[in-house]
Amino acid sequence: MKIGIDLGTTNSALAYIDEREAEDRDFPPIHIFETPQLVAPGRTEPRRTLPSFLYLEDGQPVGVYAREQGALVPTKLVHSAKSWLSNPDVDRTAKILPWDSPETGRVLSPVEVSARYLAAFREAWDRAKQLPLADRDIVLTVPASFDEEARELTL
Amino acid sequence: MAAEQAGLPKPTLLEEPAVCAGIRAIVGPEHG
Repeated sequence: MKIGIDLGTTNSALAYIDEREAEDRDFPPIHIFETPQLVAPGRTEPRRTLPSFLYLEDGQPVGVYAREQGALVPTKLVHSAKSWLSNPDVDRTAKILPWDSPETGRVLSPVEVSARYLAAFREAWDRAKQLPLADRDIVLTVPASFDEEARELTL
Repeated sequence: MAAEQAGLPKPTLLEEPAVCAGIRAIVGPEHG
């Protein structure tokens, strides 16, 4: 099985192919992993994409609920982490997010936020599938514009 | 660093837009 993760600025997604399904086909079908995520208080539902947003409350939820709640309380919303990850003018490992918060409210680094999105995929996958995501070969997208440091920080 | 912090093995990096074009074609234009 091959895993592809698109860690996007606005939305992220995980897709996979199972080579065993390649019988009589030129290419095995591509499956989108519907990622369970918090979509409202106390309600988790699978979605084809994981919005790349994190909301600063207990548990630091990511995804749909984080995006919606963050629209109401922008100072607690972390967004555009990928853009910050590729910004050479800031310390990308420093706790500079959410940028829209007062400096005292900036509690996460672009790397930490990116890791949270990836961890959300890992946790959801491990709950749904037999073989852990960490045991799979993973391809992760990066923009062609990413410099060497941004690539290293992604890995 | 992010993948490692997430508990994942070192992934292979693939430059956009080639692979993203394929994924976006599947998941829809809302994907950013």
